[in-house]
Amino acid sequence: MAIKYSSYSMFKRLLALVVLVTFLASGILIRLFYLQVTGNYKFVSKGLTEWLRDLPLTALRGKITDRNGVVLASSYTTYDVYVRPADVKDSEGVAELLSSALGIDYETCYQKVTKKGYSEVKIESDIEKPIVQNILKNFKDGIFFTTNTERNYAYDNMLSQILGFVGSDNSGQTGLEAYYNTFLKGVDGVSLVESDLKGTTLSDSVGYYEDAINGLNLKLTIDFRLQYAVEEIIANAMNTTGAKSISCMVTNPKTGEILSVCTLPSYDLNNIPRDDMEQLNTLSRATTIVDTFEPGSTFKAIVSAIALEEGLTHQHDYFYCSGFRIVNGVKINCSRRSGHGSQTLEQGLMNSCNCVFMDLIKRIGLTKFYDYLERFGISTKLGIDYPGEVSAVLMPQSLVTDADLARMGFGQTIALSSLEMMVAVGAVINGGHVYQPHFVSDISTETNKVVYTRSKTEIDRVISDKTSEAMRNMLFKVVDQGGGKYAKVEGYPIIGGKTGTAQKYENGGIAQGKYIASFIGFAPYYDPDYLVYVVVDEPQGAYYGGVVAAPIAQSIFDKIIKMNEYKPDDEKEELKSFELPTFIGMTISEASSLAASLGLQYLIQGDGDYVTNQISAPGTVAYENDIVLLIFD
Amino acid sequence: MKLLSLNIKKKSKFNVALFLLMVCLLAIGCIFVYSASFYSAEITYGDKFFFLKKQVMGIAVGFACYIFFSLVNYSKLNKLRWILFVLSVILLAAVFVPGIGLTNYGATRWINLRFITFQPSEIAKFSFIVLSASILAKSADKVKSFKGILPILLVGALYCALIILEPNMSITICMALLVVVMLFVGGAKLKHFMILAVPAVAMVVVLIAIEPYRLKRLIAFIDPFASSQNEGFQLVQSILGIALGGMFGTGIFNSRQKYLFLPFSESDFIFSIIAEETGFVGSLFVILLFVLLFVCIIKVARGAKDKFGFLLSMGIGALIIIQVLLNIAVVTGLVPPTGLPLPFISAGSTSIMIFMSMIGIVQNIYKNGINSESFFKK
Repeated sequence: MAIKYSSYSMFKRLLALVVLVTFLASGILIRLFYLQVTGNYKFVSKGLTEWLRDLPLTALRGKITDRNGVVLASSYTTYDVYVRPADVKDSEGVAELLSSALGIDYETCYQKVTKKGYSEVKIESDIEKPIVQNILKNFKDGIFFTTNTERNYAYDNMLSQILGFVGSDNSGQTGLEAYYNTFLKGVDGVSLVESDLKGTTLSDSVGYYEDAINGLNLKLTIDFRLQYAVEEIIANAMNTTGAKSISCMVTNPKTGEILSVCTLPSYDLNNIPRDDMEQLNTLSRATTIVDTFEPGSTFKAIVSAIALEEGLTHQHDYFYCSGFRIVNGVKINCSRRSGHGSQTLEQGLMNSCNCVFMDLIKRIGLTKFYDYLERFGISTKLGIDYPGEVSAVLMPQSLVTDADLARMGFGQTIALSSLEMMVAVGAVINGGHVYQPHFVSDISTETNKVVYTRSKTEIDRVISDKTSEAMRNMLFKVVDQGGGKYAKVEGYPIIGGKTGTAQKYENGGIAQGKYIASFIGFAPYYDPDYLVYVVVDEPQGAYYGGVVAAPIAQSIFDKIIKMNEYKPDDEKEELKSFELPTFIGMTISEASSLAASLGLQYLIQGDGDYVTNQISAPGTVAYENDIVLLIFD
Repeated sequence: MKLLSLNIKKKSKFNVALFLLMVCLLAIGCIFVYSASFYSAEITYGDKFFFLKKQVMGIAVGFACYIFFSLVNYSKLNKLRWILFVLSVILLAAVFVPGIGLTNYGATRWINLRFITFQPSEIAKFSFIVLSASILAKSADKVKSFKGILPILLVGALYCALIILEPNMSITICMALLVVVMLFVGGAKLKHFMILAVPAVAMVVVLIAIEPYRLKRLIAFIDPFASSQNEGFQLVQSILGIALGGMFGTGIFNSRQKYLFLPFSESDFIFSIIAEETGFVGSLFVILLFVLLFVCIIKVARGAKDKFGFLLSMGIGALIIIQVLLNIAVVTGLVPPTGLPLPFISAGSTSIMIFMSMIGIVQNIYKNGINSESFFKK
C-alpha cells in the first residue's frame, strides 16, 4: 500500500500533535496534583482567613473587692454599632432607626448605611445596653453590634496608686491591675462565621463559637470602712499640715495583711490624666512601696529590739546623755542639745534620745546589725504582690565608718520604704515574726468559686516573745507619757508607738527646712491587731513627727477603736453605741431616713431598687457617725 | 437480513463516542454553571437559575446546529469558505459600530442583536479553520513554499488584528496557535515557522507595551499572592478554591469560592469550581473526557475521505484542545490569566453553539468517510 509522501508527512505531524497534547495535559495534571493533593494545605490555610469572619467576644475583666466584698473596681460592657451595607434590605428604615436611637444626624447615618465597597461601617462607639435594647426592639437586617469592656472604679481616687489602671486594650498597666493582669483579664472568646466576599453571612454557615471566659475576681485584704476613713483623715491632714504629700499604711501585724494604704495627692482612676505623663507618673507612684527615705527616730524601735534580743541591754539599763557623742572624732548631736542626763532605755525611747541609740548600735556592731537588717527583710525584697517593690538603700559594709553606724542607730544614713518599716516594726511587736505583706486574700471565679486563698507567710523569726513584749510595753509608754502622746485616744490607753523626724536630702546635701515627720503605732498594745504608719512629707510650719504625724495617727486609731469595740478604761463614753439594724429590702429613701434617725452616714453601691446587702452586717455594734455601706444589686 | 445490515450500516455512520462525549461534557457544564452561579445570580438577577436557563437555551439551539451540520455534507463548507471569511470580517468590524457592538469589562467583543448577544471572534476561529483547511487541501505542493502559505498567514493576521483591537488577547493567542497548528499539520516547512517566530515575539512585546495592564497581569501571574487584593486577586481565588478541593472535593454545590470570591466562576474560571467541588479525581475525569474527545476527533480526521475533511476535523480537534489546555493552564496559574471559555462547559451561548456545530461537522466527516477510502490510503 503506497502512501504519498505528503500524506505520510502529515501523519507524522498529526502524531507529533497528539504527543504534544498528551505532554501538555500531563503537565496540567501534575500542577493540579500539586495544588490539590501534595501542597494544598499551604493554600487552604490562606483561604481560611477570608472564608471565615471573626467577631471578637471580649472577656469581662474580673472585679476587685475589699475584704468584705465591697466592689472597688469592676468592668461593664459597652457596644459599638456597625452596619453591614451588603446585608441592609431597608436603607431608609435602618438609617431612621439608628439616627433616632443614637441621636445622630439622619443624612450622615444614611450615607454610612448605603456606603458601597465596605463590608462593615461603624456607626457609633461605646453605647450602653439600654440603647442597644432599644435598637433590638425594632431590629432590621444589616445592623450588628460588637462589645467592649470599660473599667469602672467605684470610688474614683480611692486606692488609686494601689489598684492601678488599665490601658485601652483593657490590660492592666500599673498597680494590682498589672500585677494580677493574668488572672483579671480573662480569655476572649471567638466567633467565626462563614461569609461571602462582601461579608454577608452565609445562610448555611456552620461557624465556630467559643464563649469568652470572664476574668477572675480579686478579694483584697483592704478593709473598705477603714480605707474610707483613712482617706478622709489624710485629706483633712493635707489641709492642716500643708504637706507636699502624706502617706499612710495600716496592716495587721499578725498576718502581714495590708488593711489600708493611702497616699495623697492621688488621682481619679476614672479620669486618668493621660495627657500629662510626668504628672501621672508622680501621682501613680505607690511611694509606700517603691520609694525609700530616711525614717529617723521611728527606726529606734528596731535598734532597741535587736539590742534587747542580743542581751546587750535591758528595759532599766542606764544611759547618760550630755547632748552629744563624739564618735571617732566626729561630734554627733542629740535632739536636745542640753542633754537628757541620766535615763533608762525606756526613758531614752520616750525622750527619743539619740545618744542612747548611738551607744546601743555600737554594742550591736556593724556585722550583726547588717545581719539583722537582712533577717528583718529590710535589705532584701519582701515579695509583696505589687510591681516595683524596692529594698533599703544601705552603704556597703566596708565603707561604713563608726560615725555612720552611730547615725544609723537613730535612723539616719539608712533609707528604706514604708512597707519595710511596717514589716520590721510588725515583727518587733508581734513576737518576732517577719510576715510577707500582701494585698490579695483570695481569687475567685465569676461564680464565686475560690481558686486561690492566701495564707500568712512567715519569712523569718527574728526576736523572741519576751523581747517583743518588752518592746510593746516600752512603746506604749512612749505614747502614754512620752513623745508620742498626741497619738493617744482619750479614754483608751491601748496604743503604742514611736515618732520620727528626719531631714530630707536633696542633691547629696541636707535640704534646709525640709522634713519628713512620721509616726508608727499599734493597737491594742498588749496584742496588736493594727499597725499604723503615717509619713508626712514636707509639712509646713511644725515638723516634728510627734506634733505633725501623731495626731493624724490618733484620728485613725480613734476610728479603729470604734470599729473594734475595744474596751475603754472607764465607762464614761462619749458616743452612744447600738446594734446595727437591717437595711435589707429597703428603698433608698427608707434606708436614708433610718440612717439619719440613728446618726449614721451611709454610702450607696449598685443601681438596684432595694438594699440587697449591707456592710457591716445587721447586729454588729455601731456608733454615731459610723459609715454603713448599702448595696443595691 | 437486509434490514439488519441496513441498521448496522446506519449505526456505523454515526460516531456514538463523539456524541456521548459531547453530551457528557454539556451535562457537566450545566451542573457546574448552576453550582457556580446560583449565589451570585440570586444577588444580581434575583433568579438563581439565571445562568443555567441561558445555558440550556444555548444548548437547545446548539443541538439544532449540531443536527444541521451533521446532515449537511461538509464539502459545502469548502465552497462557502470565502463567504464565511467575508462574513467573519464584517462581523468582527461591526463590533466597533456604536449601537451594534456591546462593551463589557472595558472590551468590545459582543454583537448585540437585542434577543441575543454573541462574539464574532468565535465565528472567526471556525471560519479560519474552514478557509485554511481548504487552501491547504487544494495546494498540497504550494505549502512547501513561503508564497504558498502566505494567504493563510494573511487571513490569520487579519483576524488576529481585528480581535486584538477589541481587545481580546486570549482569542488572539488562540487564533495564532490555530494558524501554527494548521500549517504544521498541513505540511508547512519547519524553517518557515522560525521565520514567523520573530515577528510573533515582536508583536507580543508591542502588545504588552501599549496596554500596561497586561504587564501588571504578567507580574501578578509570577507571584499572585503578592497582589492578592488587586491584579492577582482572581488567580489567588482560583488557586485557593482548587486547593480546597483536595483529592475528592468539597462535594457538588459545596464550593466556597462561588460566594463572590471568584469572579467569572461560571464562565472562564468554571474549571476552578469543578476542581474545588470534585477534587483532583474530578479534575482528572474532566481532563480525560476532553483528551478522549480530542483523540476521537483525530481518529475521525484520519478516516476522512479527503484532505479537506482531514484538515477540517483536525483543526476542530486542535481548536478544542487548545482552548481546554489554555483555559485550565490559566485557572491553575500555569500561564498568565486570559479570558477563554472552557468548551462545552463554560457559560456562554456563542461558544456552546459554535462548538456543537463543529461536533456536527466532525460527525458528518465521519459519516462520509467511514465507508470510503481514507485519503491516507489513496
